[in-house]
Amino acid sequence: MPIMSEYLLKVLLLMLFLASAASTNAQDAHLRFEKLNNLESKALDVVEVNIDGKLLDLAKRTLVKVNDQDAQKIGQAISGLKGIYVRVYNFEKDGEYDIADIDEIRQQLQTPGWERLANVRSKRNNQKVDVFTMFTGDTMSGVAVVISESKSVALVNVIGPIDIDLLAELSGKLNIPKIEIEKENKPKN
Amino acid sequence: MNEDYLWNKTGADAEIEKLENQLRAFRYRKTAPPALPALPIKAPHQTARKSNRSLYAIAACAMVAMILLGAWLQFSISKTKIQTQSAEIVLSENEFSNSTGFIMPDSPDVTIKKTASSKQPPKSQVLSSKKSLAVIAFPTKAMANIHRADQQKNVMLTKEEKFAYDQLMLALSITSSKLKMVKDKAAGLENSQAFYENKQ
Repeated sequence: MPIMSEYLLKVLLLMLFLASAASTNAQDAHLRFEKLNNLESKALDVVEVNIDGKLLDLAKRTLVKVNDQDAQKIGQAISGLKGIYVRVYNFEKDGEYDIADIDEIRQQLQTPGWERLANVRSKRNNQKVDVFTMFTGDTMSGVAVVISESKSVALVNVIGPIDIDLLAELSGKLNIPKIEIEKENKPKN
Repeated sequence: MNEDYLWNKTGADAEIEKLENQLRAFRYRKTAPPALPALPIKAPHQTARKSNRSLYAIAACAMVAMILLGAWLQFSISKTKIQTQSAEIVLSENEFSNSTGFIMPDSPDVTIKKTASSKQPPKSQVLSSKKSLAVIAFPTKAMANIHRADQQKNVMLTKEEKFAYDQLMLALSITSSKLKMVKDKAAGLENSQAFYENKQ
């Protein structure tokens, strides 16, 4: 019996360690946006969304309550989600923000754990697009999107697993407004 | 007629003796009494009474069932009435706000879907009654139909729930639009690369 209880204790300690490691990784996916607070006064339009903890739980419960097919799909896509943080700033003129502030965010994504998924650089509008993901084992534990252009900045930080394909499929449905914050000017042929 | 012969059978009377001889066939003979039946035979009127009693029991049960059904229908109709009235209040508040521009004080509940029409309360009552009867007649099919109808019912959300829902939808919308933009950009680059490779 003592051997058995010792074995159980070891298993419990191991599980506790794994759980804490997973939570630490999930916490690591959280980016710090404090440096961008000074952009609010300069920007023409600002969108700031922080949804996590109890608010996110309430939103998940509301999705169940709405009892709609699309709502159920969204509920599935975000079932493991722990938080979403969004910042969008639109400016009237070019160069109204300091690109170093955005590069500081990009620096946070150079830490271990983050993997670059997409990297687009365009001289047109000084566009820089970065998409990073963080994985814990086979499970996605974070997504970060950083987009900077001459007149706009957009940052998205998702904590926890999320079905991106399903989310893209549901874009424009179920009161999800199709917000076209930046419309690219197609080159004329 | 000799009275002594008639009453005491003393002496003789030819006329009475002639009558006695004629009625000899009906003379009393002392024999054993008939045997009693082994089992009591049921009287036919008793069976009839029993069947009447069971009929009364069935009728009483049916009456109780009808009373219960009536009470249930009444309850469900009054419930529908309350729902319709609350929808009417919310709608009239919205109409008032839209027409005057005056914002009503915060109400505990906020509707996100407008379904119950305030102008047609009797229809919902009839629907409720029909629903109840349909459940009794065809339970499985009716329940499936009601479930489908319930899915399209009003969804009443509290102020906090609506706020949380809107925030989540906004965050998801921006996230999905940004990811879509990156995806389209990557696809565009791949296409142009393939185009130049083919050209070469």
